Amino acid sequence: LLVLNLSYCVGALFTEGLPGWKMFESVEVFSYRLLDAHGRSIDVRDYLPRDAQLIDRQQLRRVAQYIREREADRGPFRFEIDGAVQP
Amino acid sequence: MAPFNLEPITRRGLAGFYRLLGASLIARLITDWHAGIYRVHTGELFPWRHLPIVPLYPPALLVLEWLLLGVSGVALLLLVRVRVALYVGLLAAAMGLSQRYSNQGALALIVLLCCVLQPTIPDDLDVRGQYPHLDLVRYQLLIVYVFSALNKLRAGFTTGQALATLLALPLNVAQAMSYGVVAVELLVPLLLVTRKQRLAWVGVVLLHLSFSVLMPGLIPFGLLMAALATLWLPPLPRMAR
Repeated sequence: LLVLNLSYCVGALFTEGLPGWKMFESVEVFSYRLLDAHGRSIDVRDYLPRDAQLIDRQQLRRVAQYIREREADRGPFRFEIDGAVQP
Repeated sequence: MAPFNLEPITRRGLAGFYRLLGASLIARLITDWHAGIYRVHTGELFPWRHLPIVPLYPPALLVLEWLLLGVSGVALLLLVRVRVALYVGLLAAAMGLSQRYSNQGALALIVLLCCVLQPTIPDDLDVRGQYPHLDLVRYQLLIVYVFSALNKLRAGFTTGQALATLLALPLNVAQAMSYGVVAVELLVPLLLVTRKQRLAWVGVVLLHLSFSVLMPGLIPFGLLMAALATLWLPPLPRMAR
């Protein structure tokens, strides 16, 4: 079990996205905006559990997609990351 | 076969381990509730860190998971029906991990899984104190710290940018803190294998106390790491022969 455990941790060390005692070791710096059809800003954090930390752009895209689906009647939306409009 | 000789596990150490493990499970229940996890299961919030293996279950099952977590946590904290509590805690941890990934959840599952290999209560311990399943729990502390430090070093954590962004700190302060975190994560395993367990225990508690002050959501993880460190504690000097 110990060998299996260690082998997995070594694998996770070199595999992006695989859980393995990775604790905030890398936090991306980015700015974003999500606007509804009337240009009103939507705070993405309102749709997250209280302790959630948005630390990469990929996570942000998934949350924005969830909001766009959930609030479809407020669309179409404009979603930007670092000033670039997202699909 | 152990990679190196470990000191026998003491009754006091095992009792302290179970109590802190129980406290960690209770803290997990409280932080989940406070974070609004219930609203994730009602569909109001984004399914944060949900691994798409098991579908998100309805709120009633979340309540059951929390009930199991609470019962197990209280029983371990009070050292009542410990063996049953370990199995119940394992079930709750597995349910929780199927719904949202967290390091605390994964660590709790591994620890409880090792514990139920041979459920042992403090009164069971003999003088030799050789329990391979509990040694696996002890090694887990080394694994978490060493791989956490290696992951941080590999990802450039010591530039300080991660902590500066997370905690809104000046970069130079964040960089000093980042080096400190990695140093403690490497120092604790070294202290443990060189039999300076009490100093290591203080290091673990101070490290996770600092994390918990800055990010209260990490309290359950800190308690769990303190539990693992407690299992390493040698007999008190007056009890040692």
